[in-house]
Amino acid sequence: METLSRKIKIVLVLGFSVLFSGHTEAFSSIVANNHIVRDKRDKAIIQDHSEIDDLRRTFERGADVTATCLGCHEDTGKEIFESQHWTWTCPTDGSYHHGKSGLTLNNLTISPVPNKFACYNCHISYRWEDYTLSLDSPENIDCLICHEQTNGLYDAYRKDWNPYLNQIAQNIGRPTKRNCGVCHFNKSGGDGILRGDLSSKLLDAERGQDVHMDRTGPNMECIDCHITTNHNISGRCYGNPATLSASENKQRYDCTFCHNQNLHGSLKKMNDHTNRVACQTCHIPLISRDLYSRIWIDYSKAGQKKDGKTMLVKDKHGNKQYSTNSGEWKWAKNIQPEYLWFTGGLNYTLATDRIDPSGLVKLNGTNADYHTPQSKIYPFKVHRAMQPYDKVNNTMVLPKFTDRDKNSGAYWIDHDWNKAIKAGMAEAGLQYGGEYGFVETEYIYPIHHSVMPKENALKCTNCHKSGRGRLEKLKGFYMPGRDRSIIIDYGGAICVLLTLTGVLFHAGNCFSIAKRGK
Amino acid sequence: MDCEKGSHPNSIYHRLCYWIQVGLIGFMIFTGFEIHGWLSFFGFEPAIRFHKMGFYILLIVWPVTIVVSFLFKKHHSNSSEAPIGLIVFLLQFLTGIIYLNYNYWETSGLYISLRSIAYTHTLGGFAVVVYAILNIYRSCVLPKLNRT
Repeated sequence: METLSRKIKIVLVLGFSVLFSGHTEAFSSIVANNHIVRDKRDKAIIQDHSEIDDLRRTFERGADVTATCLGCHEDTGKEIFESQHWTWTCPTDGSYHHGKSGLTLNNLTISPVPNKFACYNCHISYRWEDYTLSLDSPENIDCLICHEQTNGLYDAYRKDWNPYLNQIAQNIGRPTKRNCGVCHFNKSGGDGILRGDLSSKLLDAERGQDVHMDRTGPNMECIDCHITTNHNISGRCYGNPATLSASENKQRYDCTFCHNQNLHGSLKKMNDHTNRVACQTCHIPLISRDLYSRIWIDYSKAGQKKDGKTMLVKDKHGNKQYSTNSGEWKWAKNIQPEYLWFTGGLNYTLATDRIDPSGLVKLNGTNADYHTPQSKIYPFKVHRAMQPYDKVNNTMVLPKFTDRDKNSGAYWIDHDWNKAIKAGMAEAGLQYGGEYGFVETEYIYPIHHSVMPKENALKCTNCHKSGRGRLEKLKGFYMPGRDRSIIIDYGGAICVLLTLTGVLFHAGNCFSIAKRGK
Repeated sequence: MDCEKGSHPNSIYHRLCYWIQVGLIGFMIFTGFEIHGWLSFFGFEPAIRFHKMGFYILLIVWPVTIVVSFLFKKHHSNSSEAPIGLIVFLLQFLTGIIYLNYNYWETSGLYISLRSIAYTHTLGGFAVVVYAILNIYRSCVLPKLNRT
């Protein structure tokens, strides 16, 4: 009883505190925050590299430029070797299994490990051509891909040799979104194909496309949020357990690093959502808004040829529908994200993990629900596929798709899965039982970019409605507007109806008695 | 509405308080059932805003009513269902405050489920409707009938 009265007291106090103070904790203006970010960026002046004598010479190889860079930036080589851009593994994972160069795999390109010939295009190193990555030679670092400011002069010649190296080497600066976009907009082989929230459209974005990169507004760069210290870039690394704060290892950051959680204005119900609903959920209502992104690939249908020649069928939008190399593709635009509870950590199925091929295989998952501490609802792009697996060992496989060597067994050359898997697994140093099948898989991408302004954000009833809301699939918790108790609803309605009938009967009786009395 | 004189306080303050409360509670019922998804008039978001606003006004009106009643020492309560009404309104008031402060549950050591509070508040909503029907009937319709 004592505790109950205490609770009632607490509630009463809280009720009054809400009335008089509102939810007005240090309400901060986003505009002010944007200026802080821009000020910081503009004040940090980079030396004009065209004035440096060492760079005013003719370079023959990219590695020569790097050697010159390292002459002044002495520690940078070491920094790069420790960075995610070099290791392609998650730094929080001591086993080095998580990451592009590890044992994780996706269902789009599956894994770059046995496909260095093509996939290592995006690795920040020279020498990817002969794919003997010398990880201990700092001269192999490609500084220019991130730091050149010639607006495209470098991309086309992104190789060890480039006719414009001299000019490029003198135009050095802090990475812009164009630098990042060279790889990140074109992930998985084309503009905007993979994630649906990153594409070249961000280079010249309007407010409705990306509220932060709006060219007439904040016009922010990637690195304004992906804060970088000594080449350690904060950003994607969904290790598990999740790293939640910047101080932990500088790998994660959050909207709230700049934005106050109460920024919707005091007393707004929206603020009350921020403990369980991520900003992204409401502010990224649709993905792939400008370009199509792929949502399905069926590798089991690959290999068909027409008159002995490989096929490539495109639809009217120019999207690949079928190719001999990779089977059937499906595309979508203005995709409604799928919603999941998420703590910032993802669990991955490794190429060595046993799978259950009788059902859908989730290659990664949030492993969180309503009850998980600190979990919030986030939007995800889900990519589904039919992809090969090892029938004997019940593991996923990493096939070899491409190679410079024509006799390597690569699928795009021979169109023989068994050969391709055998070659791929051998190159990755993994066991293959010799027999393959196809299994349906799912791979999820947390969505954080292409953030839309308030006028485009989701409305209450996108979720708070019965039957057709966006969060219909998320179960295990009560959500006002969506959930109801049939017993209470019908019971309550019956009580009201019974009262009305009772009252009417009573009135009728009174009336007839009164009439008779007269 | 020409209600029986004795059934509600008749000083101007009492009348004002009484009718403000009648209006407010009607408004709370309406917006409440709109939030619940049974009515559609203001829209979901405005309904929530108005329901909250109504609560804040009640938060002012009720203490004023109590003070006024004590000052004038004229607190009538002839109808027998008035205590039931008091309990129902108190229930709605308390569950309403708890519901509204959902975000502070964890920090204030209140380990209850949202579902239980929501269900109780909905149940209370129906009880308010039942009480309103009975009260209107007893205080407005019945005296008229008795007179005839």
